[in-house]
Amino acid sequence: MFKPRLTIPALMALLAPSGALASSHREAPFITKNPKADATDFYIFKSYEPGRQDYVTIIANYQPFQEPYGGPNFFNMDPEAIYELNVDNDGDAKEDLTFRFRFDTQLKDLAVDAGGKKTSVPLVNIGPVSVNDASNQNVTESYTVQVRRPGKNEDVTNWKDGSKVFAKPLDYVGTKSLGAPEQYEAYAKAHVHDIKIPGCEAQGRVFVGQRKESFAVNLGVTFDLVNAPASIVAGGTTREARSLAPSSLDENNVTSIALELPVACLKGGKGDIVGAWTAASVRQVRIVNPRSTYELPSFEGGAWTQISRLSNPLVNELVIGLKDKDLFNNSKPKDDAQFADYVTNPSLPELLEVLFGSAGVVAPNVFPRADLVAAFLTGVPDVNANGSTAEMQRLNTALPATEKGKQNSLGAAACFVEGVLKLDNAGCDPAGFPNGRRPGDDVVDIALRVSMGYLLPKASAPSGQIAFTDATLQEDSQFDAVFPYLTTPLPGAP
Amino acid sequence: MRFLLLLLIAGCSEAHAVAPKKAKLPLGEQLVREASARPKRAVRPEQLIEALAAKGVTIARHRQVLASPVEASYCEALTTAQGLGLALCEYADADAAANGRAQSKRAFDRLIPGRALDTNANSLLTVTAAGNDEGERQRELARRTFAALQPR
Repeated sequence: MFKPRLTIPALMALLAPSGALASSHREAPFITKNPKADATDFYIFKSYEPGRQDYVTIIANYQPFQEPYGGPNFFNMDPEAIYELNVDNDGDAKEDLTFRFRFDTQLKDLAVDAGGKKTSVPLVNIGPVSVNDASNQNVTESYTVQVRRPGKNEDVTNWKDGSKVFAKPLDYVGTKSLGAPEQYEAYAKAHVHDIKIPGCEAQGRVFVGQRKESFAVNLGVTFDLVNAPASIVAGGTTREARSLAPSSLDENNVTSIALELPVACLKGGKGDIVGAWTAASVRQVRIVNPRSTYELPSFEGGAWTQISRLSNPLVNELVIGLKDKDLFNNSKPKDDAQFADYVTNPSLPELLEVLFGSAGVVAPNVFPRADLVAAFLTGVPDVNANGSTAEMQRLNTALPATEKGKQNSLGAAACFVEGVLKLDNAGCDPAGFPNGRRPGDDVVDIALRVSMGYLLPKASAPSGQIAFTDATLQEDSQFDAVFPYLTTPLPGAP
Repeated sequence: MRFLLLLLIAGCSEAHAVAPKKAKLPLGEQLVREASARPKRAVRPEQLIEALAAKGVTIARHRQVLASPVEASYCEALTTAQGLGLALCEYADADAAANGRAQSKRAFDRLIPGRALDTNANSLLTVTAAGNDEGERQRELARRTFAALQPR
């Protein structure tokens, strides 16, 4: 007579191990073969550094699960890939502004005298490295940035000297090589470059380098719920209850591409709302060189082919079905209608109901889930909807930033009461996720709550007001107050 | 001597044999295990669905859910067409059901306010807070209907 909506085999498939889960770390089968092009997190927010209220910061993190001691090669970016930050400023789900990053690696081939012979060293440095003395650095990295508008591609240049090439700091090999964390941070900050962006009057800033992993999640609780006390998962009513567990990613680093842009430049004379996402592409063909050299381990050619795409956290991770995850990474926002069912009929709430239904947790009963369409695909009317139906982070640049120390880690979600926007609601912080995303926005808790119907009326979502949490807190106090906001990476050796 | 040794080994094996812990099983296996361990007599979800249908309340969907959070043997979640959520859990006996009710109240009352929890023999009905007048009517009807059912 009645058929269960989710069968046990389907549930088992849902819970089958599929690699480590985080925001978008190794989230699709093919990208696991291309870690250097694997986007892990994406942020866009009004800059909250004092005095930078007329700027927007965009950050894309790449290369997941970096163990700080991952030498001797550490985590250079791929010279055979392009990394892009895309902006749609007219609501057609197509990029109007793209910042394309390309990297280059240079080997000095430092050698030491060994029994009268000069022997090449196997390490990236053979002594201390600092801003003023890179003589011991065997491998250096640099990059270029191109700003691409329809029909026009131009180089971004250094504001001070007009150079088109920017230096990237060496990864934090260890304290003997690069000093204590505060010294490494000073070294890294020397690689924040003021930039001139063609077509923009005011200067911007760019930084690319290693940072401490900025995403926080309790994988055990979130993705292996069967072993988690239910009272923890549904108990996030206080800050303490949301901070019971350390982040599973607490010992990792990432590589960040951070760009700060004048708001006016981003908008391009159009509306206040911009959509943004990152993507990485490689050449379609790779032929492995059977006689590899450092400069030419393979021959790569053909069309640039996108293999990584990221905007909202957890989308390809938790929303898109396994069979379509690689396709999602190939796709562009303008073609997102093909993935609509994953948003309108999501699986995560059904799983939560199975886990905690015995206590009265009920998945929302309205389909299609228009609330999730608003959160992920269209933006929220009167806040950050921009006319398109496509998965991207949308930021209303007219809304002011909230300074560090006053941000609500539940972001703009706290501005809604049973789906009704109330900007005077206690804790409402319209400058946070899903109006863009700041580093301190606790997107796991927000996603759990929104997926269970936080934005829906009570009649449609009986459990929509339960304080679901992964018990790992993410908040602004964990990040810097100045660009690039993400913090000093962990050293390879203390 | 050999016999004594065998006895000793057998004794050691027995002493170290440990039943698999439910909480360590994958979710799917745990659900299978719970479905195969339903008590012989209880007020069943199937009975409640039939009884409510006879009174004009349609259960739009129902499914087995994990029983361990409320220390039950077996549980199903039910949702009416109007969105009222119910959970009916079966226990080994009435004492276990009473303990399960206490455990559920202890763990979840603060987190999920407005629930009503009723026991009937060795079964526990949990009804979520209603969102509107019709939901409130259904909620009271479900509680009365459950209270009138006989274990089978």
